[in-house]
Amino acid sequence: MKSEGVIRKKGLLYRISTQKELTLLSLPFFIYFTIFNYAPLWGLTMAFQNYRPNRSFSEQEWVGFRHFEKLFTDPDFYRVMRNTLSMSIINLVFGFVSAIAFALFLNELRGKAFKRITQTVSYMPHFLSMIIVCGLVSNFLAMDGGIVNELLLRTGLIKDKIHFMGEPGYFWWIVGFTNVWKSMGWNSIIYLAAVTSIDPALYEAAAMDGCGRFGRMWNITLPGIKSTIVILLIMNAGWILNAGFEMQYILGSNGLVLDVSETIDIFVLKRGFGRSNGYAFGTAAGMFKTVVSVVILTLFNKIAGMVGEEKLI
Amino acid sequence: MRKTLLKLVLPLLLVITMVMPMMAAFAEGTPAKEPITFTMFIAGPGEAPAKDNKIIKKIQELTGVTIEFEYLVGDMNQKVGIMIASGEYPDIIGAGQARGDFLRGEAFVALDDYLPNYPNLWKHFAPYEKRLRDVSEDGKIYILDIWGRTYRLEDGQDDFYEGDYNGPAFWIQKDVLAWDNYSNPDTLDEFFDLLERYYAAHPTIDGQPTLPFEIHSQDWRSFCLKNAPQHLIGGRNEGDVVVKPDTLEVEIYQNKWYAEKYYKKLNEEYKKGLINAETFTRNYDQYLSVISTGRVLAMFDQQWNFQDGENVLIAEGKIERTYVPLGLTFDGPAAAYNRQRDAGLIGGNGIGISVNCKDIPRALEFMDMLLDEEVQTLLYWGIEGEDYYVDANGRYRRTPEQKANFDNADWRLANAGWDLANQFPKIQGRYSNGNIAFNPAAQPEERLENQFEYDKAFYPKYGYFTKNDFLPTIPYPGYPEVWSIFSTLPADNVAKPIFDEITDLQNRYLPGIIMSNDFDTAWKEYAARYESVDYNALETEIENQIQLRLIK
Repeated sequence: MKSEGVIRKKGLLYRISTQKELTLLSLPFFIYFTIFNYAPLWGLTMAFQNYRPNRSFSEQEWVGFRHFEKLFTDPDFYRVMRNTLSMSIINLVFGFVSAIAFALFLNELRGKAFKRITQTVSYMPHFLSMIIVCGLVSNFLAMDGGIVNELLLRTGLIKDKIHFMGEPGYFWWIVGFTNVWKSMGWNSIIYLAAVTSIDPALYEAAAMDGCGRFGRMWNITLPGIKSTIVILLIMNAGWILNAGFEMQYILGSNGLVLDVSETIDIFVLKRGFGRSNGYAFGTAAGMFKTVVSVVILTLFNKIAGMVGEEKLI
Repeated sequence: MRKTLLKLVLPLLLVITMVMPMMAAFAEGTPAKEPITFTMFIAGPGEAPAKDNKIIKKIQELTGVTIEFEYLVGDMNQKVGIMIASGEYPDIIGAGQARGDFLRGEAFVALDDYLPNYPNLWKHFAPYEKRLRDVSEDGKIYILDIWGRTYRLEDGQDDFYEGDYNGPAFWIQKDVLAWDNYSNPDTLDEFFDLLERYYAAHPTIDGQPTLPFEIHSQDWRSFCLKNAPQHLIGGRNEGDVVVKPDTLEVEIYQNKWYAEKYYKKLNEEYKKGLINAETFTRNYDQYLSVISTGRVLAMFDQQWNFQDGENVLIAEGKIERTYVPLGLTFDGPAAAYNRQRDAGLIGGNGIGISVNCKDIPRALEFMDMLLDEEVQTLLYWGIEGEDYYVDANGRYRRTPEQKANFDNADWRLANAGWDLANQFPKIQGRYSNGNIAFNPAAQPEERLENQFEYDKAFYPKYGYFTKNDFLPTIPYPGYPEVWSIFSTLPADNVAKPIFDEITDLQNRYLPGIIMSNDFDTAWKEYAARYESVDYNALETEIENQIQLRLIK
């Protein structure tokens, strides 16, 4: 046993010495991640303390899982989990479908100039700040001169103006739709790139066999980018508890829709900083979120492996 | 060690304070003392005066003291946290909202033994000694308030020197009152009746739909939604509680009959179309923007909160669309709302001298000198003959040019003492010669001259001087407004989590209740939820806090 350890140690040193350049290249990243991603993990200890600022670590009072107990018995917690998951699933489904569909259709476009322009225009919203996007949305949907209400009213589709921003039933869909509008173009880039790696001979063969346009899309393009789709699905699944923060915070902070707009991130912020002595509780809630994300990510990764797709890790 | 040092310093100090005026008299124009530079951190945003500011230079000549300001940039908790953890304090700290952190971090020197040796400071703070002490846990004086010490002459003229009332009220457009033959409604029913009639006669203003009554409800500004009931039964602006005047008992009121009565009225008005549903989803910018269009007839708010919208109306010359306050009650007559005399300082709202201060007596001496009336005049009015003039009656006056200079923030940074003086204890109210202190623009003569033509015709219809006169005045009840007590409570006070909980509950439910089809059911559900919160503990705690701060 002992000798094996020595050999392994030697092996590692040997590997490092033979790959000096590579090791050196990776060093900055190693340092970066250590400082900014691993060292802050230390702060998670707060979740198990009755944390008070201005006190040294040894002076903190340890309380075990009390904050987690409080979290799981908090009725608000289940409400924000429901909101988070609902909005997340809406975002995931619609974001995925729209980006893939958009990439497929864009790929079928013949006119090169038109295709380029469409693509550029479609990913422009991605670069807009969330504040501006939310300003646009609330102006479009306003009752007082908002374009959507005016259009619906003038085309006779509705009789009374709709209070979009104040109706709890609409909120998730407004967020979902806005997300699609903002990120569809950008997210489709990666699929378009994947499409270009498909062998053109396959299309020719299919065309010769009498396969139509939709048939080719379905039977060649989609299977061709399947592994990309799966990888992205795994990555996105890990973010399932990240339903967003800014949009819900900006658009949903009025009392009428607060019950459906608060996500777990807003909950962490409000309890952690908005309330007195909430740091520890906020940390506990944030930690719960991270743990769930890691579990889901691992799970999806396993599933992907089982169905014979490429795995992320 | 510190004690012995103190023993040494104190007698020395006494000698210095006695000798100093003599020395100054002998050596005019030359620095009274060796130059010294104090660093000062302000836990809030701001801009330091220019280095060659002419007033600051004079102050340097007079005192030998230079203040190097560092204002807060970025997140306060973070900045203050680092400062406390490292123990690297500047000489003087403007504690602002971070007072609790600094106090717990033991950042300040106790000033109890020093204060009585400085005549101006002592005169300034002695009446409020109790409040200064109550801020800290060990009952010592650490923070000197910089706002709220108002000097009055009690010659029957003091009220004319009040600045414009900018507190809570039902604010209504002047044109609505003028249209109704200059009426002056004093009950909630009359008020909404007037709005209904005016709305029927003016469905649009400048081509856009009229918004008869706005209720702003976003985040912490939701006081516009919630705070009216306390006034409708005649109370002052305590915030989230009502204090019974005779017993000083405290009561949470968002679930009481008077709150229910108010929201029920709003619910009726909503059904009549006087309140637009969108009012609850407008963010603060949108709220200001509809006000600036001049089509909002009235709202319950505090003037400073909608001032930016009103300023647009003023800039466009729509003076008839600007607002006056109404002190509505359920059954009349009008109440004072927050127009009270001599509120005094709150305690904990100011600056402290840090434990690292290089020369404590010198810093205090500087503050003491700033409180001299002549120095205050220099700081806030400027230099006689240059920035203001004195008329035949000894009144301080300004030419339109001089006034325009002072209205320009850039000019002030280079030429006025405000940015320095605002950070230290100051004289508010009036100087002993009767002129106004601190706010030259509120000098009555100047105010009258600068009134708009519309206002000059409008106010006399009521026999009034300014919009303040729409509200009666109340004597100061002897304790600070409860909301301000809240803001100085330490973070781990028992009342805080309860307060957070009911605030959340109110913000969540009230808009829906006002818009509900069936008010009574909605109200019952809300009231039932309310009972699940232990608000009695909060009431008791606030009662204690009031007793701590009570000055009779």
